[in-house]
Amino acid sequence: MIPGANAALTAENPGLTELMVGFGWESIPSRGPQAELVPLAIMCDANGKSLSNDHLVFFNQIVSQDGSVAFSDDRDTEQIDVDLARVPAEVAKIVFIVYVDPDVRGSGDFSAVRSAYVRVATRDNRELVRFALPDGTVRSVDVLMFGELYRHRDDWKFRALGQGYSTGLRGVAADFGIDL
Amino acid sequence: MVLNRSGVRSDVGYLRRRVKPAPVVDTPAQTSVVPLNATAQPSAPRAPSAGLSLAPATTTSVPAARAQPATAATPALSPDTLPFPAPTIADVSQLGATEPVLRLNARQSAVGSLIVSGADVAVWEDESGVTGSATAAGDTAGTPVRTPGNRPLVGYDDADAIVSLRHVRRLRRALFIARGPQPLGVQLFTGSTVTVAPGDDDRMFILCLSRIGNLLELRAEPVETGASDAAILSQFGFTLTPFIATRESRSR
Repeated sequence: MIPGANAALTAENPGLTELMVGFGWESIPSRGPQAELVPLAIMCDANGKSLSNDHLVFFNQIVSQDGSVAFSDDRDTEQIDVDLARVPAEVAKIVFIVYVDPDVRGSGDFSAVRSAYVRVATRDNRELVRFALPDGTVRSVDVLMFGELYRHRDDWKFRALGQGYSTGLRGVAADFGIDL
Repeated sequence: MVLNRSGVRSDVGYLRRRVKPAPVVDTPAQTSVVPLNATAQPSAPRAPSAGLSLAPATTTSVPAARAQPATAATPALSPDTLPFPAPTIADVSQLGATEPVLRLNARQSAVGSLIVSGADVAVWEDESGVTGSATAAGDTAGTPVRTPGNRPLVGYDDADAIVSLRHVRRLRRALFIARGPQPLGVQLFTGSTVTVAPGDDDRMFILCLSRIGNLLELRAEPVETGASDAAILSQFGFTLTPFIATRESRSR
């Protein structure tokens, strides 16, 4: 996929209910402090805002309040499971971002990150779509939106994004209405 | 004994278990959507095991995903579900005798750094019981805990003690002791702050950091003003684990 491209998921795969959204990347090794990447799923309403602070899923909030989105750590570097059948009707899209943890001792950015990807697979790991983020185009950012699952009429589709923030999690929190 | 084999318990937020699917042969990466129904197969039955089976009950037919709001979803507890109510950092400006404890939420407990100013001594214990200490003057004892980001789980940066919240799950607890005139203060990524009351001639307050599930709890604990660091560590059950510095073979 290329940034901005979309792919039909449920329309092409009748009966598809459970998805695994996997993230992976490689970091150039360093002896000093390294950027630490953290995937985060944000469940958004039709206005693109997070439904609530409980509608975030990441390593320290590993399941959404409704139980439809859950963080796991399995085949990929990081992984988030989505049960489409349990996603509340008011959720219009689920945005998947990866942020650089804002450690005060030099958090870094994506400049040392290579071969980043996001992929969507079935629960039994049948890969449906994969988006490899272009290397080198977004190195100076500290948050990257990898992709999003979104409702399209009665179906779910996936869109590759590849857009970055240079304002870190504060920028994300402001755009998505999140209270960190 | 009757076992609950009803599948994943989504009503327990923090302990939600994800059942790994059976291994499958990797398929090559696709650049387009692969129809699921073309090769859909029922999952293979698990091999019998003499041990406790954690597999869910046999899967029945999977309902269609389209246009199904989660009306029948099992209500799940919030990851912030707490054993008892506690003030937040927005509720407390100073921890001390009247407000001894506050609890951070899951985001505050996990994003960026928790900065403790005014601490002359920091002591940590990780999830496996490894303990160590560091001082603002640069002295260390016990065993350091390094994180994959090449930063200490708890350590000093200039005069401030820093906790790496990205790896908060590795932390069990920490203590921060102030000996100087500057009171203990805590700052979060969001800019929220709280201070610790200095105490009086008889007692002073130290800061105790405990991880309760996915949440960090900050507590001001009174100790005797003249108590030594060793006495305080003993009082709180810290025994520093020995540290052996290892080295790698020199490459030629």
